[in-house]
Amino acid sequence: MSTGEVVRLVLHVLALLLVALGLSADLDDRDSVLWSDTWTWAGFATLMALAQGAALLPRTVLSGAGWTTGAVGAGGLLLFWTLLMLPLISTNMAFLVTLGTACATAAVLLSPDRKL
Amino acid sequence: MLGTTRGPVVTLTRHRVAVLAAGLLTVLALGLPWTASTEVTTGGWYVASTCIPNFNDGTIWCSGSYASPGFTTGSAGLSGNETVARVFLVGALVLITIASVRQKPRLLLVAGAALVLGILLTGLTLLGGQVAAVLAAALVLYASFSAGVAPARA
Repeated sequence: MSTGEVVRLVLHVLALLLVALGLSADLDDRDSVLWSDTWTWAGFATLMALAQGAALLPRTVLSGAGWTTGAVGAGGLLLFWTLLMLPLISTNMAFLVTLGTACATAAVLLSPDRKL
Repeated sequence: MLGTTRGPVVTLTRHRVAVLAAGLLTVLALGLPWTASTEVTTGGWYVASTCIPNFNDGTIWCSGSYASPGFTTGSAGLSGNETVARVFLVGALVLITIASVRQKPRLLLVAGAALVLGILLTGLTLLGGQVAAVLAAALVLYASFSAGVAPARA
């Protein structure tokens, strides 16, 4: 496994972990988490965080649509970040999701299968 | 020979500087104010009780005390990341990034249009955030035209 592949793997895993942690942990003493506030958005973000990992898949899987699926995931995370996290940017939750979104975007852009 | 190469080099450098500055101004616009505060605060009031002693029968009569809390109406000033313009600002940032990486100056036109649309949808206030966004839009449009993207003529 080359260094580039290790970096991308770490970025994809970090993206999933950071987004999941931001959504599920009460880091700002609000006595609630996003899952209990708006489970639909939390579910959307988790789904996108999972989808971004598809960019790691080899070209033979998903009929070669792995990178596209990963890009949709990273794009969805970016949309979620813009709409929900940006207004709360000073919170710990937004910080983790921001890092997670950045990791997902970087991982997708660093992929050798990049189409954009 | 130098005269033939300096022109394009200078243009390319200016183009890159303009795109970079536009990106930075767009990020700046997210943090600067976009709407002015319209908050009006009405102060609360308090009337203390009054007691009147009756020396004939040794009793004392006291009136009630009244308090009214203050309240605030209107909305606070919002920065770019709290207004609807953030969608257009982030969209413009993504477009500027893709245009720079993929060398597609036409996307800079779309980014400029997104910035202008964001400003118009938020309402013209000419506060710091909007000024930064206007400058970013101007730079992005300059960069797109300097790269040879011109609108179609009828």
